[in-house]
Amino acid sequence: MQNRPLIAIRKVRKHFLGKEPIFTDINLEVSGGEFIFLTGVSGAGKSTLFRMLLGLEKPDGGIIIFNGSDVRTLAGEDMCRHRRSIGMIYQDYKLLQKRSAEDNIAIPLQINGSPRNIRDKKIKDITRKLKIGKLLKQQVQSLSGGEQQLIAIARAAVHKPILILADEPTANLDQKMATRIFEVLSLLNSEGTTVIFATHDINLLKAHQKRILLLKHSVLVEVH
Amino acid sequence: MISSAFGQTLDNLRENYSTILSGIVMTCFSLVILGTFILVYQNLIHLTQLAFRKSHYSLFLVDQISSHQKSAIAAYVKKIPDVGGIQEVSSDEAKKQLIESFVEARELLQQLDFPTFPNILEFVLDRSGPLTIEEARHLKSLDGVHDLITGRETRDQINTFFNIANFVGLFLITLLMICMVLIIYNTIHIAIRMRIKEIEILKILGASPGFIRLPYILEGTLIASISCLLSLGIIFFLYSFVVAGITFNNATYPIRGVVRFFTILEMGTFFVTIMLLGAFSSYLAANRIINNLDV
Ligand SMILES: Nc1ncnc2c1ncn2[C@@H]1O[C@H](COP(=O)(O)OP(=O)(O)OP(=O)(O)O)[C@@H](O)[C@H]1O
Ligand SMILES: [Mg+2]
Repeated sequence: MQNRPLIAIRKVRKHFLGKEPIFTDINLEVSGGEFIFLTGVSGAGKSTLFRMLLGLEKPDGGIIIFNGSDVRTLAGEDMCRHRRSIGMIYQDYKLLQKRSAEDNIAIPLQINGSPRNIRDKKIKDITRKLKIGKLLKQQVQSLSGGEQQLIAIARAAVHKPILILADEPTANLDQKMATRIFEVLSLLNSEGTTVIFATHDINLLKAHQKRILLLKHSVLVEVH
Repeated sequence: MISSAFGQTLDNLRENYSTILSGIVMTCFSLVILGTFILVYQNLIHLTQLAFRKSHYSLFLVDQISSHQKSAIAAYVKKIPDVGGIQEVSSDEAKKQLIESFVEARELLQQLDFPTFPNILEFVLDRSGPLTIEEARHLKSLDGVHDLITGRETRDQINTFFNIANFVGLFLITLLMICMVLIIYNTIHIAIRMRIKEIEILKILGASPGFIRLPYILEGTLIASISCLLSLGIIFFLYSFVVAGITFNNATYPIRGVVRFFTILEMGTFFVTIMLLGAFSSYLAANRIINNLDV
């Protein structure tokens, strides 16, 4: 059990109709607790890889094992549970714009069916950890991009998922905010959450000594 | 889960009140049409039924009937529910009536000898159905009764007419109902479609279809319920106008007490049906969107 990887991707292929194949042979192993950068040019397939891990996209061939189960075979409630064990963060935040920050953070807990008091406690914990107490009561559409991303991270992490997938979370943000986002994700990683961070940001890649994966010519290569 | 769904429904209502409002207006409008149609139809059927309610019967008595037998028969007829207009016609009277009704042939008829003109007991039944089989059988078996003649043929024709009218009416109501379902379904489908991003997010976060659906089902039910109450109010308003019109018009004055609104039970049935319809169509609409979502 100890040595079993959290993620095992083998021989994954994907070809969207009428386009160049985006994956010909993708292989990857990720252990629990790792922090990984995923990079590659636009259109290389970073988002598609994340969508496959979430079970939103099926590979044409190969297998994707997450936490001991084959993602392709999951359905119904199992698929929902699988998605709940992964926190997704997007470049465009994907928050409910007209709700308060707190409402947004509470959604995964509502989905889990957590009772009110536990919900409040978990929201308080994540709020303190990410230092976003001031934003909590505000409507999301009144927040800046960076602030929205912090809320999105809080929502992705509030129910303590095993894995956080961050799809270019800093693409729309300035360097200072990008650093803060990275630090927050590092903090979550230091508490045991596995993080895969997709980014084009050379500065980030250079500044931190982490494992780096590069998607290039339809395959995945270890760079660092 | 239910309480959070309620909270979410309230939030949805607050955020999307304009879509929901137009949904209510649309649904309410079509419900007014449907409800008015049902009400008018119901009243027309009721009025015609009242007009054709009475059925006539003639009890032919034997020639040598004793007054004792006659009064026993009359007493039995009197006890039949909804009976009225009991009238005895003697053979002489019957002859006189017959002669009077054929004025041109009066002289000829007078010369003829009518050997047997039976005594007749006529009565009228004022109820929605004819004599029951047991009542008729019992009447025929009474001492001194020769035969029972009914106006059944006209009655049957009227019943046939009612059956056809009923069928046509129910057919039209069904048609309107189907339109209603489509309108409610479409309204709710549009309202949900506008929030497809929201549904997408919930799906990515691992919400089950049931969790995603629930607030929308509550919303659909609410839209249908509010529209239903509103439309009943509007129909009552229209009804009051019509009743006022009937009362102030000499020609229609006599039916003023007969025209009626829905009973509480009918309104309850209408409300529950529409509510379930709202729930069901929002269920379908939400399902369709969730299943077709390609996230
Ligand atoms: N559902 C789809 N149907 C058809 N083609 C798709 C679909 N999803 C992704 N693609 C294609 O797959 C390729 C990879 O897209 P993807 O979004 O994964 O790239 P990316 O590495 O995330 O790019 P970016 O850095 O711009 O976000 C693109 O060419 C894209 O057009
Ligand atoms: Mg992408």
